[in-house]
Amino acid sequence: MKKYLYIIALFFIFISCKKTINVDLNDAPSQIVIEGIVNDVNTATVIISRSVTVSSNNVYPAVSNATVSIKDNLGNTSILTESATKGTYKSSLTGVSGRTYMLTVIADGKTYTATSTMPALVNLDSLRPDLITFGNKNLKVVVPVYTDPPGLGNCYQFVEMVNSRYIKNINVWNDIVNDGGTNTRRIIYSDPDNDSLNIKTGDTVSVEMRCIDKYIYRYMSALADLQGNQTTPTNPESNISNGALGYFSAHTSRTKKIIMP
Amino acid sequence: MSKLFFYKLLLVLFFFCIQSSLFAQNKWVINGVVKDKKTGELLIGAAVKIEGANNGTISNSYGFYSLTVKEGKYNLIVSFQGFQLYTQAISITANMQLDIFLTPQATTLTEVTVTTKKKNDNITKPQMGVEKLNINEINQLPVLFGERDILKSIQLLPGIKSAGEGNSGFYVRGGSSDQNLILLDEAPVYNAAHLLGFFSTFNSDAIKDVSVYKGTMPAQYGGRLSSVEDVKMKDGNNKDYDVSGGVGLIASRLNIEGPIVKDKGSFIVSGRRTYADAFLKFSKDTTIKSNKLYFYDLNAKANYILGKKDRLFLSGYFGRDVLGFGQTFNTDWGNSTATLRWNHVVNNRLFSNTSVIYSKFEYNINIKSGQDNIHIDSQIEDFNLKQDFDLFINNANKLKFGANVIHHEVSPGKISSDNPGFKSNFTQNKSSWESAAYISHELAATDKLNIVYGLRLTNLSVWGPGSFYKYDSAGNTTDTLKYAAGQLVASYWNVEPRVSASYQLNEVTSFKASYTRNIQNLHLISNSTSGSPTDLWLSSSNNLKPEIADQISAGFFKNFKNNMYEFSAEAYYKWMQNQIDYRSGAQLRGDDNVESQLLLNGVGRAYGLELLVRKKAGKLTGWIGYTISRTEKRFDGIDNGKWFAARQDRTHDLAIVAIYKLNAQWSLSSNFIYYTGSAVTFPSGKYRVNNATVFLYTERNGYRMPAYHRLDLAATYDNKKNKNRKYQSSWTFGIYNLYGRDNAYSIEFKDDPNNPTKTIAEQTTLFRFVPSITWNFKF
Repeated sequence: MKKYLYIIALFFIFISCKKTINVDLNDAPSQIVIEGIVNDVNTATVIISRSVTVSSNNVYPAVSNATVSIKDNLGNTSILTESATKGTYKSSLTGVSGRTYMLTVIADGKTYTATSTMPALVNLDSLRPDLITFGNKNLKVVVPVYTDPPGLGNCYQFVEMVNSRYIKNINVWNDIVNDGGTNTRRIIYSDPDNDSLNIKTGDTVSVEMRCIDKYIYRYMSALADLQGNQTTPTNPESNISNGALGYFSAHTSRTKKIIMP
Repeated sequence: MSKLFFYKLLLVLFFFCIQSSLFAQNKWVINGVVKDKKTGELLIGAAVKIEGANNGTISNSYGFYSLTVKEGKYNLIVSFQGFQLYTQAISITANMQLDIFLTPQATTLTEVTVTTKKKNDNITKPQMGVEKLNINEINQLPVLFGERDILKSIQLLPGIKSAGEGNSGFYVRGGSSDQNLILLDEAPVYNAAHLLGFFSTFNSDAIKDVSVYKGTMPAQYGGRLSSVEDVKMKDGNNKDYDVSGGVGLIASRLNIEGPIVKDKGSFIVSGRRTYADAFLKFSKDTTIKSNKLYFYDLNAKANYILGKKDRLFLSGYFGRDVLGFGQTFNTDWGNSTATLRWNHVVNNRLFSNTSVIYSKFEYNINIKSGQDNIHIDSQIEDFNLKQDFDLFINNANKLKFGANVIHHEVSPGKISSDNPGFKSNFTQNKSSWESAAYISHELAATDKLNIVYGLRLTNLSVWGPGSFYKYDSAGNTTDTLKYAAGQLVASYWNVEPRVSASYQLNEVTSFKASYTRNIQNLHLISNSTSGSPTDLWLSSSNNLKPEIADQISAGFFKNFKNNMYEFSAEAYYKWMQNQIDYRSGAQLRGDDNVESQLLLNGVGRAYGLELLVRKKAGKLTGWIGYTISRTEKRFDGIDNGKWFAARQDRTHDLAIVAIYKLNAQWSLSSNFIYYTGSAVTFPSGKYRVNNATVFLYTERNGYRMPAYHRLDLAATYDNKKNKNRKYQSSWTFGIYNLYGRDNAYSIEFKDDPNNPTKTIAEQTTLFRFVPSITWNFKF
């Protein structure tokens, strides 16, 4: 859809114009935001912050002194402690595929819980450089090479870094297309404002592939829809109880790097 | 139970008819068709009256009329807007067949129609919530890029709201844009828009007539909740060959019509193609140069008179949009329709029409990805068989009845690739049968009271083979049911009562009231306002129930100054059930479980008041239409089940349209439009997830876009020197949004690129001061 709009915009370029306007917005009360991750390679991390009003600066108050623990379905419990970065809680817990993890956060007198099951590992074999050509312009992209196991239900998320710069685009896809096949879909990154930030020869691109559960898939898809400025935006459905924003995901994690030719 | 009731009612009505015709035996019947003398075109809705006998009728959609009169000598008077009044002395001593040929008043392309005798049909007809636009009138109005468009012109009428800037999509009385039944020669057009809504699929060169029913349609129509747009193509000149066309900024048109055999049959072929992509070619940037962007339309129709009693019509439409982004991304989409109709005059009172209708909408996407070519194909295809009867019992009783059956086949999506390693994905095709039977009785109860009432009985059946799923309230699959071929999966019976009545206080004043129930069994799943080609149609199923709308309306109608001015006020209240929305993060493509992503069982309510003042004759013609209205919806899963303003909710909506005939050569026209901004969802907070700003929404559609307004002007120059020659031409100059109002097309919230710690709101405006020029010719 975005692509169509882009072409239509090209056509109306002589006519359309953009300007910054003032919109009088309501101030929603500040809400708690929990972002929790357990993966199968390194430490478990939970970041707790609060929402702010739209007119505020993009500075999100950290929630300190919370009690954070993660328990698995075999009864093992791990306590996460607040690190030097306020609002960030960590433990040495490394997850195992097939186990269900339960997050408990007690902050400001309220208890929030969430569960997530770590899916089976699908290995990231390599990254393949590729080009998208429009006329005489090329956009450098990468293809994560992996083979989806047969049977529907696998969900993936790809987190891309270009020269250690985190790319905010959310790339989530499932195996409804090409179930059981070897992936050929590309991770497309094209900076909306600044072409010089696009991937160039010699850039180091790293991609973390996550096998995520279907609730996180739905959450991330909803988050990606918000980035696309859809007509009727809605808050992504969180898997955390008690009205917290954010998500708790137990996923596998494999990362590959490539220097772009 | 409801079925039984329906059949009983049918029986009662039939007995009533038979009885009436028994009483009418000492009378004679005149019947025939009303035609344009110049082209042989059938005229729909011409008023045929017997002077002195105080009775009359209106020609039906095939120009057919039938009148019952006592023996004697009369004057037969026939009137139709844009044509000279026709009077003929007749002496009735037996049944009589009489075809009537009306002489057009205007001979040039864009003449303003001036009726010598003004009609008061708007007062006498019981039908309410109906709008008829004359193609001549539509052709006069200023439009974006000079590309005249029936779907944009009807948006200037009260109760019909534009879906957005320059958009051919529209909302009728609180309904969404997929709740409009758009018919082209009886064939439903699924996606009536080109270029994502900026143009409609209707090339006005090929169009004869359009009627809009704002949810108060008579029983012969069904299938959508909000409205019917019944568009009829021209039949083609059966006297002489005509070539006409036009060259505009965006598109060119060519129209050829003529007799197959003079006075026996005719054809019309009309084509249109845009050349927006030609502009792209001027660009030095090869990125832009390699893009494709165009659409074309082809309308064709032929008809043949087989004898005094039979006539055949074959009409078709084919349209395509093509959009390409270099080699990387190519897509095309479009509608195809075909209608074969057989008119048969069974006897001088009974007119029959049998139609076989085909309609298809499809889209194809090709994505080139490295060595892979991925194709996505989707379509909806209909076969429809329809039988309609018009029975002119006597002057006080007219009956319409009929039945139809439609087979819908939806192929939601097939994803395939040339690469042998790619595993194709086939979403299960869904097929359903939609059947209907209806009866509608138009009764002149007294001189003052006219009633149209009827019933429509509909059934929707979904049949196997296939897998059907059950879901819990969170959308998780709880059960998979396998059905064999020919096994019934779901079936819905519905009765749709329709009644409209008018009470005439005097020649120029009437009150009307109506109640209508409409059912919709095809649901559009879309997150765009205007309808995008990738929108998905789903039929009712084991999970999706038929959408239901009940509407009551009441109106006051008054004409002034010898029917030169019309005034109307209509108020309505509408309830809607089984409305559909979707869950956040819903994936609507390529998934057999798409129904699990929907929020079902929503309800809606819409109410409003529509005012219209119209000047129909004189140098200055036009209208002022104003609507005040409210449309709300409620879903268990949205805003904790609170009522919220629907996207199509707009408090005020005003349109002023004026056409001024300056002299024989020049005519001027102007539109002024004002409406309250649409209800939208804006953020009320923000937070951080995944290292990025995410906006927080507290309520659905709790904000408003800025109010929309603009003024358009157009001037048409008609070279009258050519009046007696066959060759004629005219020029139309126009300007859209004359005072350059910055109307908001969209408002986007994002991190300020100059100061990433702040959020800004960025407004996009599409059209300001858009000039246009169009040259039309005819020879």
